Amino acid sequence: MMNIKNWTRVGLAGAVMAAAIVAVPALAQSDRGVEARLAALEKRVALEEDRAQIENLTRAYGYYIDKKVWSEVVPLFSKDAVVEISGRGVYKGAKGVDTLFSKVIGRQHKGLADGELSNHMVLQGVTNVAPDGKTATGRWRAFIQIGMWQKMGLWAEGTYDIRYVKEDGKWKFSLMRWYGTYFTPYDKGWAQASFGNNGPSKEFPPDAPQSVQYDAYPGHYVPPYPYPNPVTGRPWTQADTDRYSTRGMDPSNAANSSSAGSPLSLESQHPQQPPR
Amino acid sequence: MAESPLSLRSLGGSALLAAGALGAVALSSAASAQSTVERRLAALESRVERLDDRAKIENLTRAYGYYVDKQIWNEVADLFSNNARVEIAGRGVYLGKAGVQRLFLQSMGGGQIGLRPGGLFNHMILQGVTDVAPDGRTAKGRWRAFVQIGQAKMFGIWSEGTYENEYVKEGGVWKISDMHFYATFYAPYEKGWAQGARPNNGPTRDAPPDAPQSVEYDVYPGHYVPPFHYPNPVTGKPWTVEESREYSTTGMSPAPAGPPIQPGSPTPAAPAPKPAQ
Repeated sequence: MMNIKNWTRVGLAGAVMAAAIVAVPALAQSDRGVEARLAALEKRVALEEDRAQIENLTRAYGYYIDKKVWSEVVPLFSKDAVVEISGRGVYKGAKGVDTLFSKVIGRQHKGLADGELSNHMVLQGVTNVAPDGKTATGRWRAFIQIGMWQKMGLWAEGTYDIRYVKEDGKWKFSLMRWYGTYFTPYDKGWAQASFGNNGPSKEFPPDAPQSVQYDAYPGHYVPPYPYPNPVTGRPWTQADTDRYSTRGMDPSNAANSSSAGSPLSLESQHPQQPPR
Repeated sequence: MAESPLSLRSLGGSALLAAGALGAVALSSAASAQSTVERRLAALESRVERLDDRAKIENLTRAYGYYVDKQIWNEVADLFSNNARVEIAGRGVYLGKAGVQRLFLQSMGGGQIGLRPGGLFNHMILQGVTDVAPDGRTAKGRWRAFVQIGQAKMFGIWSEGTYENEYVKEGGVWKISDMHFYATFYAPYEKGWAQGARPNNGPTRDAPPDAPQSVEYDVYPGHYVPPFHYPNPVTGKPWTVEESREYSTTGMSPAPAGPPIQPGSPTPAAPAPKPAQ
């Protein structure tokens, strides 16, 4: 006869086994929980990295512009990029981007001329990466010193509205719009003189005309914020922009008495320089 | 030989017991591995959350600058928490939602949203040093604003100053809970800081603060070191108010605080020369 003690042992062991058997699916279930949390973490870390890469990309762009190294600027754009700088009109695709930077802005010269200054500080990025990690938006500003030794010096400032796309694992600019806020000669300052936005190039015309007509200082324009208010979540609308922007006050507008003179292209101020 | 069913059962029982014991060991080690994984996951989640908090605080502060650029005061006022405390230059302390709105919409904006034609109010927000509290509920940030103010054909001013901000996460959204802007200099464009310096902005009569300016300090040609909210990043030594005092001037502000400088102001009068100290 089996004694009570033995039956107790059997019962106890059985109970432990039973507990183990019940615990296995519980563990498996919690593994799935771990798996899901790891996946979420990986995604969030990837988005943080995306933001860091977008910041580096945009700031690196500024450092190349500083020195007019167009061959390094052009590859920063996606295949189908759309770029619009100041009032020069819209340039599209790799070829358009190259035309804009190397030919229109760069006047077919590489690098700074002797005595030239083209400082392009890229600052204050508000960046938002889409949850899928494939696109992003950014608002930045450029604070600019342009000059030619013993000829001219200019302060300028303006807003960048940028869209990014991740192509083959690399972040690139897919859309870039730069809106000039002011262009003012160093010797006079913004209270006394201001230049208008640069107009389109006749020699290397854009693929499409300027998409938005707007005033530079002494007029002003509020480039639409690509993000909602960070606290209220209210999106910015084109109607808001229209309400808070002037019309017909650009210095290039002949009717504007604040104009420093005729429309002025920053490029036209650059001296002729020998090809390199 | 007749095997005793009892002994068989007894044997079986022992085997079961052994298996059970093994199971228990496996279970407890799995449980302990699980709790380690749990701890590491929770720690990682918290670290990633703090990085995300920092990104949001950066976006918030820079977005503030872009609204101030264009004097979109309603969007600015919405960035603050309900119990916020805000002090800009020498305008005094504004408290709560109503105070924040009075400061930005009335004292700063003169009742108008948006730049006046010919107005310039560029407010570049730069160089953030941000620290999120370990619990992720509050944060601090030191920033600077590099400022261009102007009114076409009237005046142009360079200005710069320091922000010491505090932030709070309310309902999952970061807001500014405390903002203190200390002006460094106001220099008329045509003279520059070597030749001309304007005084700090004082309180607005029509939209008075809830409390007077909390810290009297000198703007250029005097100087003030706004206390750093962070300890030295290498030594860990905290900054003290005594040190701020030691490294700051007194009585060197260009003149008693005058009316606020902003687009739409009449051409600012030259500040009265400061008597030698």
